[in-house]
Amino acid sequence: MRTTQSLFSRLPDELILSIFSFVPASSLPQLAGVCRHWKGVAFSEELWGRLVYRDVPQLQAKMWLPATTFLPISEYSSREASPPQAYGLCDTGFISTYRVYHTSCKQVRKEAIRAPLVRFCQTFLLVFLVTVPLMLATLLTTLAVDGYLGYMMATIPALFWVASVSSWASWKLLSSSGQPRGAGVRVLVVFFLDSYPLACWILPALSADGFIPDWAGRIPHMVFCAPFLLIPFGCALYWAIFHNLPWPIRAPFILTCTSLGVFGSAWIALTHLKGAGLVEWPWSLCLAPLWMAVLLLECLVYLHLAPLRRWVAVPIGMTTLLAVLYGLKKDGVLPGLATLWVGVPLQILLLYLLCAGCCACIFEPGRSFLQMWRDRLPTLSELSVATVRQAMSTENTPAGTTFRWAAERDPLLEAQAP
Amino acid sequence: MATPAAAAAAPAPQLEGDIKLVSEDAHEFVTPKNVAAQCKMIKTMLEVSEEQEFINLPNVKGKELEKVIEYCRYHVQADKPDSGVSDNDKKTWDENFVKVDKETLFNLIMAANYLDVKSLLDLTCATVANMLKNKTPEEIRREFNIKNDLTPEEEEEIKRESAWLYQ
Repeated sequence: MRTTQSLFSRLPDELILSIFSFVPASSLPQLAGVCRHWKGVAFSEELWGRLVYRDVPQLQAKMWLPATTFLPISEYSSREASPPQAYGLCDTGFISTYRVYHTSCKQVRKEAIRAPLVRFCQTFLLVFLVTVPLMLATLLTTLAVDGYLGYMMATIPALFWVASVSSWASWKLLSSSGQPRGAGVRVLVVFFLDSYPLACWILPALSADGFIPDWAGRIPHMVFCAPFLLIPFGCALYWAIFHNLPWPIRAPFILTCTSLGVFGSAWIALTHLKGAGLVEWPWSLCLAPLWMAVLLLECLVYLHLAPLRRWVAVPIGMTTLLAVLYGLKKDGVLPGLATLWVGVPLQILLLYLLCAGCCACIFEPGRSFLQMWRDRLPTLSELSVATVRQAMSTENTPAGTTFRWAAERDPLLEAQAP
Repeated sequence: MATPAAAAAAPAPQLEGDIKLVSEDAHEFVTPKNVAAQCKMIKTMLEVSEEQEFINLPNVKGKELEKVIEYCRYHVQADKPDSGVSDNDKKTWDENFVKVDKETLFNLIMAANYLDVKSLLDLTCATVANMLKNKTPEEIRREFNIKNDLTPEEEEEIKRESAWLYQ
C-alpha cells in the first residue's frame, strides 16, 4: 500500500501550485514551511506566472454586494492577474474594498506594505473631506434651529460638500466604461446625484427662510426620498424571492428591510404633514419612526458587517441620538442652545470614533487586517443552503437559534476536512 | 485555409454515438461521445478522427476513469437548459462527489489534469487545498506524512519572508 507521502510527491509542480492557488495567500508561508519542495513551489515566481487565473467574473459580481463594497475590507487573492475595472470606482469612491492582485508571494508582501499607506490616504479622505464638512453643516444647522442663523446660510457648506461629492461621483460614473451596470442606470444615478443638492437642500432652506412657500420646499424632498425608501422594499423582495437561503437566515433580513421601508416612509410622511400643519403631534413623535428606522439599520449592520460592525454601529447610534435631540429642541423641551451644547461634543466624539475605527481597521493592535478578513463572518452571498444546514447540524450548535460558522465556509471544501 | 476567426466561428461537430474508453488497467467503459468530449483531451482526439471506436487512456486507472465519466455524465445532464438542476444542486452533488479517500482524490486530480477536465481539476484541487488551510506546517506534515527536510536556516528564511503577515 502506498503511503500518503507519495500522494503529493506524485503530483507535478504545476498541480501542487494549482492546489496552493486555492489556499488564502496568508496561509502560503505555512505551506512553504512544510518541506523544501513546497518552499520552492510556494516562492517560485516563474511557476506563479504560469498559473491559470480564475474567478474574476464572480469577484466582479461580488463587488456590488453591500458587505464587500461598504467597508474597508481587504482581501489578498492569489488568483487574479489584473483588477477588473469595476474595482477602480470603489477603490477611490469610498474607503471601501479593494483587492490586491499579485502573481507571487513576494508580490503579496509588497502589496501588504503598500496597502496600509493607501488605506491611510483613504481614511484621511473620509475623515477630513467627508466628516469635517458634515460636522460644520450640522453645527450651522444647529445654530439655525436655535435661531442664530438663516437656514440658507447654514446650508451653504453642506451644499458645497454635497455638490462636490455628487459632481465627483458623477464624473467617476460617467468616465468609467467597464462597470457591470448599463449606461442608462449610470445616467439615472448621475441625475439623482446632481439634482439632489438643488432640490433637497436649497429649496427647503429657502422655504425655511421664508423666500418661497412652504409647500415648494417640501415637495422635492418627498419626491427624492421616495426612490430611496423603495430600496429597502426592493431588498426585502430580493431576499424573499431570488436568494435561495433558508428562512432562519432570510426572515430577519426581509423583516428588517420591510420595517426600514415602513418606518422611513412614516417618518417622511409625518414630518411633512407636521410641517404643513396637518398633524398636531409633537416633533419628537413625528421623528420617532426615524429613530426606529435607524435602530433597525443598526440591527442590519450587526447582522451583516461583522467584525467591523462596532465601528459602524456607534456612529449610527449617535446619529439617532442627535435626531432625538433635534426633535426635542423643536418641541421646545430643550432650551436655548441645548442642541448645540450636546450636539457639538457628540460630533467630536463621532469624529474620534470614525478616526479610531478607521485606524483600527488599518492597524488593529495584535491583529493584521488579513486576519480580520479571515475571521469575519460570511456574508449572505457566501452562504449556501448546504452551509447553513451543516452549521445547524453541528453538534455544538443549539438547533435553530445560532449558527456556528466553521472556519472553512465553503461546504465544497469543508466536505474533505478530516 | 480558414483563418483563426473563421475556424472559431465554425459550428462544433455534433458528436453522436458511443465511444469505448480503455483504462490503464484494461477496464472498458462505453460512454456517449458527448459525455466523453467533456474531457478536452478526448474531444480533440474525436475531432481528429470521429470514426475511431475506442480510445486508450494509459495514464488513468479504471476506478478514476469511472469517476471522471460519472462526473462528466452528471454535468452534461445538469447543464442542459431544461434539466431543472439548480446551481445549489450541482454544488451539493459536487460536494458528495469528492467525498472519497485521499488516494482516490489525488488520482482524480491527475486524471482530471491528464484528461483536461478543468472544472473537475478545480474541484479536486480546492478540496485538497481545504485540507491544507489554517494548519501549521507540523500538522500538514503529520496529515500527509511529509518529512521535514528544511534546514534551520531555510526555516528562518521563510519566517523572515512571512514576517509581514504577523506584524
